[in-house]
Amino acid sequence: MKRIVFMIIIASLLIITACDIKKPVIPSWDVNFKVPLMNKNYYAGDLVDGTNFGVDDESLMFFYTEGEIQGAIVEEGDLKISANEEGTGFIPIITGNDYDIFLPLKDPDEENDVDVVTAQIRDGFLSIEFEDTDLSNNPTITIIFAELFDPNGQQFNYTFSSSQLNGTHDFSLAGYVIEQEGGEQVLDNLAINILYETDLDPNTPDDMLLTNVKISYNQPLYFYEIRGLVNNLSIYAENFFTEIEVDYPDNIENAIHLNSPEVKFDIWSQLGFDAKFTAKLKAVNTRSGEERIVELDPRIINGIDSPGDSTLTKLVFQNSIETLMEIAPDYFELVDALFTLLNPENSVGFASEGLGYFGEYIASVPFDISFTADEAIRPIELIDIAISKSNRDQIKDNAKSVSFVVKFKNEFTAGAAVNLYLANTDDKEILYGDLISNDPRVQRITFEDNFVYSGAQDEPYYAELDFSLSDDDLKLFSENETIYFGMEFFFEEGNTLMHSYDKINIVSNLDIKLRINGDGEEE
Amino acid sequence: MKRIIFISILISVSLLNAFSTPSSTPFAGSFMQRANGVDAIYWNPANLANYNTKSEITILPISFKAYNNAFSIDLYNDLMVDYLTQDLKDQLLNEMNGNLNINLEFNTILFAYASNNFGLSFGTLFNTYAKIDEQYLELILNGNEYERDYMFTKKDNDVSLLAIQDITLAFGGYSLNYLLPSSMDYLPKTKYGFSFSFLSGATGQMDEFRGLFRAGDGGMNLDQNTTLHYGGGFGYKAMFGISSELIDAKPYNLSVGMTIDNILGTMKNSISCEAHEFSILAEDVYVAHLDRDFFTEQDTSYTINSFSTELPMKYALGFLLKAGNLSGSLDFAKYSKPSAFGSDLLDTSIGIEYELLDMFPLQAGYMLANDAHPSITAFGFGLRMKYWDGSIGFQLYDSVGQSSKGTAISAQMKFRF
Repeated sequence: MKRIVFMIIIASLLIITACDIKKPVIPSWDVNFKVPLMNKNYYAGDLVDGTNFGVDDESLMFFYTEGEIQGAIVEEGDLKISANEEGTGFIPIITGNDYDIFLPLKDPDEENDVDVVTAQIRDGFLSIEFEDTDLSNNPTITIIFAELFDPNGQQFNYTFSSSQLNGTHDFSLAGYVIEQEGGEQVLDNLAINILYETDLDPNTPDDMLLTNVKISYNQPLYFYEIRGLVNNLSIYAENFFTEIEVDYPDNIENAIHLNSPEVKFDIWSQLGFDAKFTAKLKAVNTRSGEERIVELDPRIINGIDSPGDSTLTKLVFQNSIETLMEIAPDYFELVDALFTLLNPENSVGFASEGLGYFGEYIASVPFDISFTADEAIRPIELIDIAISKSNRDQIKDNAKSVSFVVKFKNEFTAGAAVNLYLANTDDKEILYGDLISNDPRVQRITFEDNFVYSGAQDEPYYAELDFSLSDDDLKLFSENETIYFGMEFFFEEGNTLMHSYDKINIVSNLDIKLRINGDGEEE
Repeated sequence: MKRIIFISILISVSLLNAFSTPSSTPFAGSFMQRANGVDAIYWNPANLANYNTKSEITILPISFKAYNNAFSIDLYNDLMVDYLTQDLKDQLLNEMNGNLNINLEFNTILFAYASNNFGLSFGTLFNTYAKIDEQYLELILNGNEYERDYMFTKKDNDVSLLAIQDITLAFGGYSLNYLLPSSMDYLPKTKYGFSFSFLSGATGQMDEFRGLFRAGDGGMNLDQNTTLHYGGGFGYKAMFGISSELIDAKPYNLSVGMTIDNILGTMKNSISCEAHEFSILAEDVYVAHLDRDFFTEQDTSYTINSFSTELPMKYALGFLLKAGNLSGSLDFAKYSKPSAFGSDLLDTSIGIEYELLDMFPLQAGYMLANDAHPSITAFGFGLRMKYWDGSIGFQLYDSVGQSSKGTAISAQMKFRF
């Protein structure tokens, strides 16, 4: 067996040595990879994006913001009648006379007081003061208010005994109701009937002074609710701001063409009075710092007919809105919204604390894009390209050349000059900046003034641009983990409006020639 | 655990039934009518008793072959340079006919014994081949073309592994003439024989290979699906052969033989049967978006039911003409269908031998190329004595010398008593 093995070895060696076989080496060679870089459609509508951006059924782009009207309610203290310390004045109660007197509810000097037909009192005190009482015949005095009822519906009817006919007696009117049977007229006074009795009854002689009585309210009467008239009652809504989350491309402010922007209000009223609505709208472009305020034309908000109802008033404002919106705001605020209650022709209405006005508004801004010359339009989003360390090393050590092809398919009805930028920073001021940064860490490559002619949706214009990178340029790819790719378009001047469905398609691919190292290149 | 069992079977088992023997190497497979004694167990049992002693044994004859369809020594030398020019890359790619095909085969007989009309053998065969698409190499060497679909199919991407051990019992050398009526006495002297093989082993094959790669404006797309199955088991087969001496007029002798192999041949695999599926999918990938998970990968192994590996019938026809110390042979062989054992294309081979001084056989052979393998040029020499016989053989694929794309080497030794 050993002999056989020996023979095999000898024979094999003979065969092998008879062949000329080179020492194995790994050669180097060049390889050319073509890699898709990006394929992106930039619709006119895509130049703007964000939560508050939309495209309607007719491909009309619009941005919008919505807000609320809140806090516009009748506050405590708004419905009141001012204190009347004088009241009825001291009235001598003399036997033999009848006393039907009046407590004034209206002071002409108090312009903001309400006029009451009926009312529910939230807070207030009734003061009844006696002086110079003759107690010799043990008089009693009964005071009855015809229109004043307690929370149980009982008419105010109070009898003062002889011992009570001195000094001041205060009665809380909280929960009392002022009502008049079958009457719809404003009460200028409360009717009071005063009765008296003595020990001499029924033979009390006439002309005996029993006492002097004064009825007044030393503090204002505050009402939960009233039927009647309000005067000069102004109800403010809270200021309400919204942020308009729209990603406008850089410089779009100069390109958008507003198309009848408007602000719509839906306002619900819970009060039985018409009101005048006034407000201001404030828009701010925080990117540029520009701010504009417009005052809305006063409008009437209709009151309700019955308590418990609510009624909707729709308002549309268009005037001046375009001025407001043309700055492409990202901040929008409703300022000083005010409801001033009205009593047209002294019509009786009603109001309650806690009720008022609420609603919402939407500012809708349809627009087209009409690019103007010399204004760079830049997609808001930069394309970032991550390059792994191994790939960076490959590029550094092996890349012989890198070029890329950018293909444009332009459906926009305007041609454009296109600049392409590659940099190792996402700082747009540097990426797109005119000045070369002095920071040695900044690396940037620019490809400028490449023109793409106008096309149309059914007849796009195709352009293909080739860009080669120099050895220095390659450092951008070999020394940075991420590089950023930005574009800017300078559209031709013209009045052509672009619809949301118009687009420019950009396809790019990298063409990389690499040297695959063999044994010869290895250290 | 099952995988370990499977691998253990694969490695340790030995498999195989050679279905050829190392002795045939110097004749490039033109060996049917040359085989006798222990070789006849596998080549044609009808010739089992065609030797001059009572018994014959062989221990551990071996053959090993490795070849491919593209690389030659010349091409190898051309490629062993510091820098591959485009011409060199094209030269390499041009040598491939759609794929790079690598074949490895190891064949041995642990022990074989023949005596009179009986033979017994324990054989082992390990055979594997792999094909890889030319387009893969093209991508590596040249890179990719933009907007081109690179389609990959099982035709050019395949792998197969076969490891079989056989125990074969052969009976042969029986006269067929005795079985025929006397009216057929005019027929030449004809013998017949048959064998039975019990098989054990493992097999692994690719069921599906489907791939697409494309880089274009639509992004980079890759869709690759591969399914393999493997398992171990047991099987059996039978062979029937006849051999007839058409001319027997010394010093001339012409014989012809015919065999049908793999009769009822099948391997029933029921041990550690598993399937393995691998897929990777990347759609519309752009460099600018590589920060996202840009591909999905699925790698699944699961148990499958037992499966059978059919051993396709093999038909062979061989001629041998002897004229004193010189002999020439012509063989044809064909499988009924492609399988892990080979293609279904016709193999045609010729062999010659000159016995120098009646004891030093000098041998040569040639197998015609077909679409499944390149041409094979073979030669060998040995020492042949009455009670001892030994030889070594070599094969060169596609061409000879520096242009060869593969080689085979064998050694065998027999004892007779």
